[in-house]
Amino acid sequence: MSVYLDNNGTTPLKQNVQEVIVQNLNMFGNPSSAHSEGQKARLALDHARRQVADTVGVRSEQVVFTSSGTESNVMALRGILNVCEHKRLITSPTEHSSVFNTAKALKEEGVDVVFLPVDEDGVIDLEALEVELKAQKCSLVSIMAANNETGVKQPIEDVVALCKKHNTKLHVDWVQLLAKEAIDFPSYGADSISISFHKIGGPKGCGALILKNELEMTSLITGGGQERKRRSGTENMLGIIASGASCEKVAESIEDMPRLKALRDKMEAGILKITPDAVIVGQKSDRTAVTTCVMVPETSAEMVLLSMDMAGICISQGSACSSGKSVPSRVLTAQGYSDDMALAGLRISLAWHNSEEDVDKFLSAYEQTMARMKIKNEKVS
Amino acid sequence: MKKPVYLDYQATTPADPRVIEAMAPYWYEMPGNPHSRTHQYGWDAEEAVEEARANIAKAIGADAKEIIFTSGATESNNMALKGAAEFYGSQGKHIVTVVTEHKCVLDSCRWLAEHQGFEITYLPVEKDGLVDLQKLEDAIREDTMMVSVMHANNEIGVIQDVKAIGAICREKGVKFHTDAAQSFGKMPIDVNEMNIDAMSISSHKIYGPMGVGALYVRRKPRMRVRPIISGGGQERGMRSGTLPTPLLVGFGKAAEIALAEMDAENTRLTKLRDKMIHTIQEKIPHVYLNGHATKRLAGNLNLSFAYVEGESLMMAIKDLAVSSGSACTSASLEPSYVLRALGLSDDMAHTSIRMGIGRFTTDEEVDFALETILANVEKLREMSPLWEMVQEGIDLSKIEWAEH
Repeated sequence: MSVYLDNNGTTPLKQNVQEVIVQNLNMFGNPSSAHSEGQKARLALDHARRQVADTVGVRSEQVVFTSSGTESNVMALRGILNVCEHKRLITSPTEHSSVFNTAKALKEEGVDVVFLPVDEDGVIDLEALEVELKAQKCSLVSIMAANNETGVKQPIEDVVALCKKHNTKLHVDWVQLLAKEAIDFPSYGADSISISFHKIGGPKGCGALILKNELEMTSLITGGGQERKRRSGTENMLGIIASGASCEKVAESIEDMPRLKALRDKMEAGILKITPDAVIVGQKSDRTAVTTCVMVPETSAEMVLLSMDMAGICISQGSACSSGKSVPSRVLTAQGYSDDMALAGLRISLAWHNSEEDVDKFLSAYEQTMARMKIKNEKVS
Repeated sequence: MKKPVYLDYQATTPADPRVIEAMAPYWYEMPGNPHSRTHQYGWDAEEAVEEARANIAKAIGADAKEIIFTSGATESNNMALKGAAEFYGSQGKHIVTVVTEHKCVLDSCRWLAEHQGFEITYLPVEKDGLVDLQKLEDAIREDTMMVSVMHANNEIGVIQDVKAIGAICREKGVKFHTDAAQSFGKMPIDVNEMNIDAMSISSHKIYGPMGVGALYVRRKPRMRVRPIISGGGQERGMRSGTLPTPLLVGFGKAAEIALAEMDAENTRLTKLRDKMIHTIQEKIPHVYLNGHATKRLAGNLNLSFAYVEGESLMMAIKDLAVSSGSACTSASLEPSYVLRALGLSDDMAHTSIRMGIGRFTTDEEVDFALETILANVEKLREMSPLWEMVQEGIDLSKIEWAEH
């Protein structure tokens, strides 16, 4: 069995989620059908929605199920901007590709899009945000709570305050913080947040957008009018039921964070011992307890990954979405790192199923891999 | 026999046990994100997804590269229409579609009209639910960007002649999209023979899991679609978001089974369906079949029971899980717009019932359904003053009802 350390990419299913899936494999009704088979599905859908709503502290009707965190982000950006008089979006260059690439597409379509400057850890420049907000009427700010590649958190409280002051809508991509930190959406201050369940031991193919009740926006996918007319399409019932089940374990996961942080710190200390010239991104900033983004100068992340994989350790470079191609991480270059450094970027991310033994196995494979890289580099030079 | 007897196969279908079995290892063992190409778990997931894609492509005579996975046929339809409009809109802002399309097609068209200045021609249908091909041809204009006509209707099961429509579109040089959510896996489809440029398909209508579907997008001559969900660039940049591996594996398996068993299943279902129609129409008068008698899905039956109150009928036959109108709107009391388009009055639309049979429908269940319907329609009519008047030979359409 491999050691799986790519949990920011996706996680295995939690035990209780697997059980719920197995129990419901034969449940098949369409919740829009009036007959009993349909109503059974409707009850299960309502229950799952309640579970998600409770997790983020909202009422059921504020939860819109989607097919992914990506869809939730695209829906929020396009949906909110569609009803705004001023088509202006302020976001950052280190956002998840679903926000970043949608922002780029919107720009092509004529929306005024501003990418805020960020520091070397990827934290947005709040003064620049205020300048932009003052400069012109803005309709939407979209900032992620924590970065998927580095785990670095954004100062959302300050962003909320600025958006309130300038009467601007705020969407927060909350995907990487779900089950890592508790949230009470009503007091959080954002107008909408995106979450995804396959990052917390739930199934792939399921996400949600959490909205303020009064938030006006258009739909991305129209049709039969499911999800209170906000998102059409027959519901992914098994996925939604399993997502609800994954929310049952959120509190437990949050309590597990100190243990994972200790493991992460041990791992980072080990990495720096083996490769003293390694740069750990965001170490001085506030970041999630489970993510390590490390760059070892003059190594290729691609080669490191292959070598680690052969040793049975699953980690990733950059974000999983773009790991098919060897391009430097957009996030790291936006933070001012060179292309060469960015191409060396590795991401190791922990979750509940990881143990100290996993970290030890990682470190021993890392040591061997790096020794090999060093020999190779010496041969080349 | 389990009650209520499930007769709503056009709303959704139970997953085939073989589909459930095929998905099983992907729920249990593999955490892989199919887009993580740097470790073994990711590779295994990708391989499984590609096999599913190949199975689906094979079922419609397409290349695997032409299949884009989505969250379902609704998303596929949205993508085909809005995505193509984004791309071709500068060349022409006219779309031809049909009044009996699924809501998501009609809604996407309405959206394009409201937000992008498109002009939409909604073709009427004949009494049997079929589109008049001459009317379709005449509706195509210089600035027509696309024709979107569904293959089989979700309420009345009517099958449009997509091959002829495809030929017209190709000749006129306009793109042809078809919503094949109801026909994929149930009838032979060849995207090349039918000149289809884009086609929406669904998994949960063919005994696969809910939450996944696909859009076929032709490569030669190329059909261009702008993504509606942008991001990480999965699905060749056409549709972003992490793919649900187990669901796609199930979808692929469902397509494989559907293709292999299509002929035998259709023969069996046609026989059962015809038995239902004939028995009902023989035993009770004033029952009307909605939609063409033979050009319809083997598993679809849509009947109007005159002189019976629709709500009471639904209540009386609650041992049968059937629907009135389409599932998406059946919780509402609006008469079905599809039935209205056939020329049915509100009253007749209200008393219509859709019965969908499928892979797991047994002879015993059909017999039970027939007994239940025959007994209850008779009983309800006995209580109906209208029925009494009809029996006395009064022409109801000539009566002037008092307003109140």
